[in-house]
This record gives sequence, structure tokens and C-alpha cells, in this order.
Amino acid sequence: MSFFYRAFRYITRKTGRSILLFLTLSATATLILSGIAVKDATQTAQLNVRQALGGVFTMEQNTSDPSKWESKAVGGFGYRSWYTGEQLTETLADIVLEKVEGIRGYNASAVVYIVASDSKGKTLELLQSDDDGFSALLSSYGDFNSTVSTYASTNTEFDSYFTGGLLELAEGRHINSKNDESAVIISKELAKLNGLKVGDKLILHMSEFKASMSDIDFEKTKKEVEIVGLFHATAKSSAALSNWSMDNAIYTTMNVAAHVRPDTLDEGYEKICFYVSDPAELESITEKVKNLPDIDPTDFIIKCDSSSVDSVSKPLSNMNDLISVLIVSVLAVGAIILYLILSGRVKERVHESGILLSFGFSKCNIVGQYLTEAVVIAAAAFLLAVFASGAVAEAAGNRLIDYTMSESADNAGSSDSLGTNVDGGVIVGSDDFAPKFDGNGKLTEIEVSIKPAAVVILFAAGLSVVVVSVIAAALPVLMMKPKEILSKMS
Amino acid sequence: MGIIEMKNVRYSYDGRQNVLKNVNAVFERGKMYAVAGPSGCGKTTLLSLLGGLDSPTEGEILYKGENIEKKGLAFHRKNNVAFIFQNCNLIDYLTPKENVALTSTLPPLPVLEQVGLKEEECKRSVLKLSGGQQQRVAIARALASDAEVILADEPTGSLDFDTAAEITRILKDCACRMSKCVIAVTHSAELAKQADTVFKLKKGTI
Repeated sequence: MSFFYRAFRYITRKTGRSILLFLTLSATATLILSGIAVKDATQTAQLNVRQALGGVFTMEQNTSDPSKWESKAVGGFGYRSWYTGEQLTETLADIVLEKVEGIRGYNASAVVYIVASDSKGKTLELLQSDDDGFSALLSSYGDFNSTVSTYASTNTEFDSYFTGGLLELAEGRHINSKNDESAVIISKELAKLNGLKVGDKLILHMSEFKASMSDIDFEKTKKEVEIVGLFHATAKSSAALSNWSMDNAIYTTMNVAAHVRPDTLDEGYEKICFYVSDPAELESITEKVKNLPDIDPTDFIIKCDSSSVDSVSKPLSNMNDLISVLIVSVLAVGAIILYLILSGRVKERVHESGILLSFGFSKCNIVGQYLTEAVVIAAAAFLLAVFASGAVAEAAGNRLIDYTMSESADNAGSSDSLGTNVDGGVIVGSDDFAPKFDGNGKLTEIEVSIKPAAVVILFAAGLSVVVVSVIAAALPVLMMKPKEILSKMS
Repeated sequence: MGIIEMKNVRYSYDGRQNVLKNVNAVFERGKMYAVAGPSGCGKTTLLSLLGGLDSPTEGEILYKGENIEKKGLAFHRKNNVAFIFQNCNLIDYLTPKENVALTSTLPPLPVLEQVGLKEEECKRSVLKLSGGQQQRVAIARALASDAEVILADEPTGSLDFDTAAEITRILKDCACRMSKCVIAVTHSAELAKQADTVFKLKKGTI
């Protein structure tokens, strides 16, 4: 009778013992595999964060020199101020891109507030939130209360909200100012509310109220644009005025924005975000840009801020550390429990070993049987763990990320404010008007999956532990002479 | 010439106190031998040495004239001898048929029927058999092997009178009809009475 047959009989007839070992191995393997999967996922997420947020530097106008500011009276509403220093232009961005290696793209952006109507001239219905602190205040300013945030961008693909994962393109395509004359991207929710789709036309124009303030014929500010894409916010967004939230926002080109708001924009952007290919080279690239002869350091501020990366990746890093400790703990405790169970099994089978030895079965044959039993049960348990750990890892990963995120500070997206300049000086200098996101759900989202490499590691390491445990447990018994074993039997 | 022989055998656990001293004995096929003696006189040790479970401190065990250590004790246990223990020592997760199949490639059922077990009893768990039935399985397991020497350690020790008599009869049949050499260590006068030869062991000597 072969030891395989004996092993099969033992497994099937000593069901209690087999199930105990099976459950122990399944639980341990599931925890380890889940841990590895979550750890992999957090590491990938950390890498994504670094790639999305870590490889970026910004160029802004240095507006600290008061001699470069001019202002004029605006009707009876006070003064409008504007900066007269060198502008942040697409041409300047192109020079940087051309002369400094290692930059993969940029987006220059500026924000203005305009009114959007459908092709029939009906003002778009806007998504409203419950926290409109300023709605009542602005209700007396005519159609100003119907304005939406409009981002004049050179390439929305490199917009910080998109690269940061706070927004994602749901339909259509991004806008590139080099190819698009009169294109817009709006939110999927705004499109749905107004029955719009990709390919539909919109008419953008200056607020009639604002136009009258600036002695501008608002009819001349009208510009027909085509919806080329729809975006979707991955986290709940809000703004002091709900119609300025990201749900109602419009992305377009500087051409369109400058046409609609001739009072505010000409060629100048507020900020250019440059994205480098390798985040590790960010500092050296930034230095090269600062030293370009085309850049006057008194006109521009070039900076790279790692706080956004740290704020998003720190909870992931904490989680990664936590998972590492958990894996090691489970591995250690699991190995000890496994050894105790297996050594218990072998020791309680001294009797059986003695019988088999007395009938001339070799020690290898006997150990072979014990090994086969343990390996078969372990393989089945690991197989179950492979299927079970997918769900376990996802649930555990989500719970852990929720926990670690709740412990962390605000996300990078909300700190990356594009809207500091609010409507060309009517309400100036408050970050409160910039859209805020509740959390960077997209960037810190972890995609947990059981990778084949993890399964291979589990089987290789797990079966090795099983084999070593069985041999270690059997060794003291099998070192004895058959007579000694039989003496123990009696 | 005997099939198995003890030649000037001495055995000591610690090298000082002898359990067996200068034991010489020859066992032949077709005969049943009883080894009797008081507890602790070395009966089971003698059986262990004959069965290759241990090696003598001095002297040798010869099987068909050849020292059993020449081909190895495991070989000797596997091919030349078969054990029957007092407490049966069946493997509890195997059926009677499978226990018999441990030592033989032949169909186990005829052997089991030969020792008086019914077919349905042969498919049960051995734990559900009575003591007598378990001992029959142990005997069948020994018989099913090709071993010519059957070593029985108190084979009737834990059985009632009638069952013990039946087991004794089966062992005697093994020797007479199957031409095996049966060596039984026993306290049973009944078994000793049925033996062809009785070796009385006292203080390690025959």
C-alpha cells in the first residue's frame, strides 16, 4: 500500500483533524495573501501619488512689487486692479518646455466667472448645494448669481484637478489650446441636468451685470462653443457659492475665455503647472528653469511644493507600515501554530509510526505519508485562500484606508487652489472661493488584487513551512529505534 | 536447520545489566513455539531481537543461516517476519481490509475470512470491531504477508477465554497448515499447551 493511499485515507477518515489543519492554514494564508495584496496596492497607490503630484512645479506671477500694479475706478462699485508685469503666457511655457529637458507637459490656467447658455440662449440650470453662504448676498447683483467658474487652460489633461485624480474624463476628450478654438468640457452632472451631451453647442457670455459695470456690450462677449468632453468629480466638491463649485465648472481655452471676459483676461494666465517625467529630478529641473535667460526672476515665482504629496501619501505610507507589521505577525504566529498542530499530529501518531516500522516500512515512507497529508491539505487551503483573500483584502483595504485617511490631514487637491483670483478683482484675495474637495478619493483609492507572484510566494513559502514543520515534528520520533517507539506504544 | 536462530545472544540496555544472556535457540517452520516466563525476564526483548526491532549487544540473529543485519533490519521486518501484538496495533483510520493490505498485495478478503471475519465486518472501521475481531485482523495481517516467521507478543493477553482459545487455534493452524514458524510470547498456559515447543525464560536465559 503506497503512502499516498494511506495519506488519502487519513485525510478523508480523520476529518476533524484534517478540517482543523485546513481551517488554520486557510485562515493564515488568507490573512497573509490579503496583507500582501493590500501592501502591493498601497505601494502602487503611493507610486501613483508621487507620479501625479510629486512631479510638478508651478510658475506664477510675482505680484509682490506694488509698482507693477495699476487700478481704475469701476462705476460706483470701487476699483479694479491689475498687474502690469510680464504675463504668464503659453509662449513662455513653450520656451520652458523646449529648453529644459525632462518636462513631459504643462497646463497654464486662469479662472474667470461667466454665464453659460444652451444653444437656444437659455441660461444653464446649475447644480445647487446646501451651503450657499453667498447666494443671498449676490442675489441683488443680477445675473452674476448665474455665473460659473471657467478655467482657461492650455491642456486640461495636465490640469491639477485631473492629474490629482479629483476629476476624471468621463466622456469625450481633453482640450488642447493648440488644436481647439472653441471647445469646452463640462461636468457630466451639469450636462445631465441640462440635457446636454458631447457635440452639443453652448453660448458663453459675460454676466450682463458685470458687463454694465465695465461698460462692455455683453452681446459682443457671446461665444459659441462645442462640448468636447464631460468630466466627473471623484470626490464631493463645494464652493462658497455653489454655482462656482466644480460640478458647475467649465474648462475652455484662453481664446474663448478672453473673448467672453475682455475686461479680465488678455493673454495672461495665473499659473502654469509643469509636469516632469521623473519626480526624482524635480529639483534639478526647477533650478534649470529658474536659470533660463528668458525668465526674469523678479516677474515670476517658480516653486515645487511636496506638501501635497506628503499629505496624500503619508496615510498610505502609514498603512503600508501597518500591513507589513501585520504580515510579519501573522506569519510568525501562523508558523508557530502550524508547527504546534503538525508536531501534535505526528506525536500522537507514534503508535502508527511504530506499527508501520514493525512491518518494514521505511522512515522515509512514513514521513512521506505525513508530508503528503499536510501538503495536500495545505494546497487545498491555499487554493481557498487565493479565492477568499480577494474579497477579504478588498474589505480590509477599504477599512484600513478609511481609517488611515480619517487620521490624516486635508488632501492635496483642496490645497491646490486655482481660484485665488476671483473675478478680476470684484472680490479679490480669498481662497474661500476656490472649489474644495472633501477628499482625494481617486488618488488614495487602492485597487486590491491578488497577483500571481503573491500566489506563487504563498505556495512556495507556505509549503516550505509545512514541509519543514512536518520534518521537524517527525524527527524526534523517527530518530528512535523501532523498539523504542513500540515501547512508547505500550 | 531452523528458519530463524539466536546464536550466543546477549542484550543489555545500559551495557552493564543483561536482559538476555547467552541465548541460543533455533526455530523451525511448521511449528508453534511459546516463550514463557515471569514478567521482566526478557520475553518481549527476545521477540524484538528476532523481529529486527533492535540489535543484540552480542551474538547474532540468523535468518536462513544469514545474519539479519546483513540485508538490514528494515528488510528483515518487511520480508521475513510479521508481528502480532497484544493490543493488535491496527491502524485506526484503515478498514480491516486495508490493514491487511498494508503487508500484502494479495486480495485481503480471503485471509480475513480464513481467520473467521465476515465480509461486512471487513469494511467497517477497525474501531468498531470487538477485541477478538481486532486480533483476528492482526493475525490476518501477519498471515497475508509473505513472512515465514510470525512473532506474536501476548496475542491472547487481552481476550476472554473462548476468544483466546480460538486465536490460539488459528495460530496453531498457521504453523501446521501454512507451514509458518509461529513464535508467541505468552503468559497463557492454554497457548503454551498448544505449542510444539515451550522456551522458559528466566533471568535472561533459556
